[in-house]
Amino acid sequence: MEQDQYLRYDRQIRLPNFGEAAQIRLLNARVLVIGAGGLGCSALQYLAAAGVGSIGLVDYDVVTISNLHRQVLYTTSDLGKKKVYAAMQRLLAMNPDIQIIPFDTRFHPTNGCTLAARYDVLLDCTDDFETRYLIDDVASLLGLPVVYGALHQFEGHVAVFHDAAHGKTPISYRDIFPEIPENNVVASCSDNGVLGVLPGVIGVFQAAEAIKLITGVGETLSGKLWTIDVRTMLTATFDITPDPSNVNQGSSLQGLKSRINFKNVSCKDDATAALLVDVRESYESSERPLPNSIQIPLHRLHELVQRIPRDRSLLLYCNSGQRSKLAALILQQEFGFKRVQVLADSIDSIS
Amino acid sequence: MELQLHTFGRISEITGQSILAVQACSDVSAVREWLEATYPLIRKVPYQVAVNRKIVKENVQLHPNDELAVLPPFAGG
Repeated sequence: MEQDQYLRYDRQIRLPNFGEAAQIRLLNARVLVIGAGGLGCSALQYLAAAGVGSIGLVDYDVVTISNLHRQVLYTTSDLGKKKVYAAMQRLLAMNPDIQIIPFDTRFHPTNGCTLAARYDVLLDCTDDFETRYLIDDVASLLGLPVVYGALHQFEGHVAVFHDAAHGKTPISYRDIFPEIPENNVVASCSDNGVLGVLPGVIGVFQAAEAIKLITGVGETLSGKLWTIDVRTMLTATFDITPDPSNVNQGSSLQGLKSRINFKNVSCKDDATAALLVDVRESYESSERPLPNSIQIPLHRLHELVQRIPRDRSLLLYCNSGQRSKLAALILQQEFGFKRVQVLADSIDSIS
Repeated sequence: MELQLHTFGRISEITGQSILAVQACSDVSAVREWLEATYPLIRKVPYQVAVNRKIVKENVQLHPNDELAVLPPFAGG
């Protein structure tokens, strides 16, 4: 750890059973936050502040005015902006010591495994059942722990699923609710209303569970469902047991694989692999960003250059190779980047 | 035997209260039947029942002072 890191994280390093070792685990950790709404905004602030070294952020939505009473990373001047970029800006202002990787896309069956496979922990901060079940299935397939948070008006849930550390039996969301509910049975925040502080409370607890999973400090809600009603402040913790009808257990794994398109799954982590730098304009690259990539449009290169890590080799790309060649020249000659390459082929060949 | 049943989320909306008194139910199946007969809208909600803070999938016999909870899924985020 560097001197300014000792200072920045001093108050948690001082904690009993935490120390430098736990801080280093956080700095080396990769967490994927799926959903940058109420839960995501809350959890992200504390994950970033705590020094989680690499935070991926998946969301396809833009900031609207009805988000602002609870999605506290965004300001009125962010209205109309993509949430992942507005969030990245705020989080890097809070803590430039970490890497934020925005994925301006929906977490869906064609990209879910690819996105998740590069991370150590997933945070389910979504607001629809389809994505929640997909996250559960992807995590089951890849064996990745999920910190789940969910809301209903004044009430919230927190749980940890698929945590197999220390010989634990991994429990999944499908062990509580085996099948996805029909549409309209349980409405979302936009239909049903939600108290602004509730995602704040739940997201903060999700961040706490993620930090405990990563550092090994304390005991997580693995295999338990925690509930709160902020009208009464009544809380309860329920034990979850494996459900024999859970489709993700044992022999049904094949069925799971057929439900998830995982032709692009890469479970191997390669920290030394080049970081992909997409220098196209955001409107060109909004469909499906590649994992392990950052978006730095050429015309904003000077403004955003501090987001490009200097300790990674870079692979720049655009549509034809022209803009990435120019960007590579600027990075090498003006900013002194050493390991810069340009992807010669068009983007279509690697997506 | 009267048992207390705590409801959550959509279930509380349907019942109009968060604690119900359940009469004459000897097991979890009987509780489910009573709930769905008294509040037919609940049939559409994929809820789970917890006995003494443990989510149970099988039919469990109930005893005096058992604490029951009815848990629906939450979507919001």
